[in-house]
Amino acid sequence: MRRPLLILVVMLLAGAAAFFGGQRLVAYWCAKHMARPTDDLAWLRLEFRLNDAELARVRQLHEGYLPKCREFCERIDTRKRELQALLVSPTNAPATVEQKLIEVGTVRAQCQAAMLQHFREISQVMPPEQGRRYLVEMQRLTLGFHEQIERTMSPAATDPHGHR
Amino acid sequence: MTMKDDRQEMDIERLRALLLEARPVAPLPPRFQESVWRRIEKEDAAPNTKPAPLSRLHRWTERLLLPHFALAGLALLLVAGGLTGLVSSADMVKQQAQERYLSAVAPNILH
Repeated sequence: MRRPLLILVVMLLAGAAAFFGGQRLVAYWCAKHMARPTDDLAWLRLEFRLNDAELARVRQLHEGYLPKCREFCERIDTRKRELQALLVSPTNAPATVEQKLIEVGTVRAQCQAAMLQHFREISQVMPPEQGRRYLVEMQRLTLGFHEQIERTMSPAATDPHGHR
Repeated sequence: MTMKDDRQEMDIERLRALLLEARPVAPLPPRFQESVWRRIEKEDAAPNTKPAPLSRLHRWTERLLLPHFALAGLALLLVAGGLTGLVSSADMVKQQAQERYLSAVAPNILH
């Protein structure tokens, strides 16, 4: 009476082994042989199906934006280092620390504004539908990250500041 | 009517009689009709026996264990697994490409 059940279990196990074995084997092969993306814009080409002409226009904007991005990064890093120095200093005044925090925040906000402007420009050289999708996706990926943190810290959250 | 016609008709009659003799009709067994009805009633009254679930399972497993069925099933699962592996690898490549783009245009957002 138990034999058919046993056979069925063995068959299911063999089937699962074949399925997951095949999956792992192909994934391993792909990881070994598929090239890692070496171009910064590979994702745009893949995700938003850009043709060569569209990609060339995007590349031009991208390369024009990178020096501005670097400059903002350097300014933020400088402010952060200054803030760190103030925090470890034994004579730090709360007003000075607050002022430095405002400076860091201001430069970050300027950086985000420039970034959003860049995303808008990029979206305009894409086909309309892809451009809209790109803009929504980039806003989600860049601004959504902070929104998620802020939401957990808002008074409406059931578990404010992540403390229990 | 000629004499020749008369003779032909007589020959046909004799042939018909001979054929009837050569193919005798067998008599039916006694109470044949009654026994037929009895058998029909018996069939109708018999309980409708359904195969037990375990025996059905047994039949299925036996059928699936036939070499060509088993091999085809395993090959199908292997191919399906390979395809899902390929899709997930393509997603992984896309994910890596997305991270690379984000680190180029929004490095401060990520940390």
